[in-house]
Amino acid sequence: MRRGAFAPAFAVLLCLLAPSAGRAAQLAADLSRDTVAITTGFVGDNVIFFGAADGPGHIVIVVEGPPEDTIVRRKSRVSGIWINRHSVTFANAPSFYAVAASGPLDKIVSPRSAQKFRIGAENLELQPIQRVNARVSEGEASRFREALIRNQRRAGLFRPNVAKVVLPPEGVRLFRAEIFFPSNVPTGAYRVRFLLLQDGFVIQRFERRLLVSKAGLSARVFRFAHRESIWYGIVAIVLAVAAGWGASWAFSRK
Amino acid sequence: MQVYLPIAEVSINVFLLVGLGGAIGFLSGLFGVGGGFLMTPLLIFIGIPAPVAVASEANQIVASSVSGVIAHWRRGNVDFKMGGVLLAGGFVGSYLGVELFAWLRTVGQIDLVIRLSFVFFLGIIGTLMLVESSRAILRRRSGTVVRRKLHQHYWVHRLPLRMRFRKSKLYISAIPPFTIGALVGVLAAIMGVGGGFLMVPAMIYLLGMPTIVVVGTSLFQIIFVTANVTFLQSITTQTVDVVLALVLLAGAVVGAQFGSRAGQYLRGEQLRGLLALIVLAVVGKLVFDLVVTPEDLFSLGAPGSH
Repeated sequence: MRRGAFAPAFAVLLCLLAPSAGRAAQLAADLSRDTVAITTGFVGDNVIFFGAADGPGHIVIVVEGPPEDTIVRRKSRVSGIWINRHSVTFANAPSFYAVAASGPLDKIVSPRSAQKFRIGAENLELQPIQRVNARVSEGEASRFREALIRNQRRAGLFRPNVAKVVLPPEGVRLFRAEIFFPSNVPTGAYRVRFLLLQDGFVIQRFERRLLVSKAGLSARVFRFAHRESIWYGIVAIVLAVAAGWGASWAFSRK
Repeated sequence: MQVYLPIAEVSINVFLLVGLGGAIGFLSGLFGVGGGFLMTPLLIFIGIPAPVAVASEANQIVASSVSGVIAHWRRGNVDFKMGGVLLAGGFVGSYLGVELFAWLRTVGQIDLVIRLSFVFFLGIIGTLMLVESSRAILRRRSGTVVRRKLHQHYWVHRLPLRMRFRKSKLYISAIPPFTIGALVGVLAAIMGVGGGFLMVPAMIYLLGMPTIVVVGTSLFQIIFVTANVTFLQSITTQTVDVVLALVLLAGAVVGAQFGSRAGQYLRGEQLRGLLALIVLAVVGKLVFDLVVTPEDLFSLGAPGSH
């Protein structure tokens, strides 16, 4: 099934790569699948990102999960125990972030492009939501910002390493990269950006979407719990009562 | 084999969960306790988000209490009238508890409150049990017998709204059992416990109920209170994970059978002493986690979710 997905996409790419003098470098890309399905046995999954560029340069792929307002809390010691005291909310922080590149980022991307195109978690635009009474100093905010990135990395949601984009040395410049989506990956529409860089600057970009959604039993349970929570509660109780009754019946017969 | 828990949104080894259910089930069969007070902290230790652990454990306790109450009901050891008063309080308490739970979650203190509640209540119960059981063991060795009155009357029993509870052989105010039921309801909502560890001593020592009807009556109350918590958590916080509850249950049902058989080989005070040590070990771990400097002082939370 995976292979099947490649064939038509490559046909498109090869058309694109037909000789074209005087045109700007072209970039086309696709994913091995449109959807990452979180099923009951889900333990994380690899998605293959592939494409072709008809000009020389480096390839960077950036994957961002659906943006969410994210609270970062800091613990302080209060009479001996650690308690969440201060918090900063960052608006629209990506819930997942991964980068793949065909070379070391600091060599192939200029700092300005890295910032503009949000390449590397450090270049994410994380702005604290300022509240009237709780203004956050820039130094404070940057500590909370680092903490957000660190926590997301530990959770595996900001992928800790830059994945490798494999570029064949010569000929048709087909590229390919593999990014792992861990089992705790948030659901929603992911933005995938393919960037073609020359001398550190982005000269072409191409965007695709990737959907991460629950599927099968886990999807049905989740949807049921959220959409019809009254019935979900009743079913949960009925199941428990039936299970308890069944257990006592089964063991009292012995 | 990993199973993805749809509400907890983590994938956990299914054998770990069944094994945990079995181990706690074994202990609950051995000691004749619900086990929620051990299960909820352990679920948090293995990485289930605390709110999901609490709400799903309440759901599981419904099942274990149903199978427990049937045996007591057959022997006629359930005081339904007393159970009803406890339950009325339990409904009020669990409603308030779930509201408090939802509020604490939005201000980011739910984890702390869950942990502190466990430290506080388990610490007291564990210490009392340890003292009581070691005294009983010493007393048995020295051979002294202490006589006790059937029950004592305190001022709380003379409050208004007196009712006659035939099965418990009591004529007391309905206010103390109602209050006990309400307190247990709050704990069920916030800690995901049945509350038997608090209710059973309160029924014996505060209300003066005969020991034989205490366990059946408390189980009767626990079924409905935890069912109410399950329902309210489902509609307000959506943290009940049915898959988690059922997997735990599968292990717990089998474990409890072995536990109750093993319990016949140990003496009452030895059992209580052993349980006290287990309870204090859990308290120790919770205190350690609260006191030791965390690896990262910062943690994340999306508003309105866990």
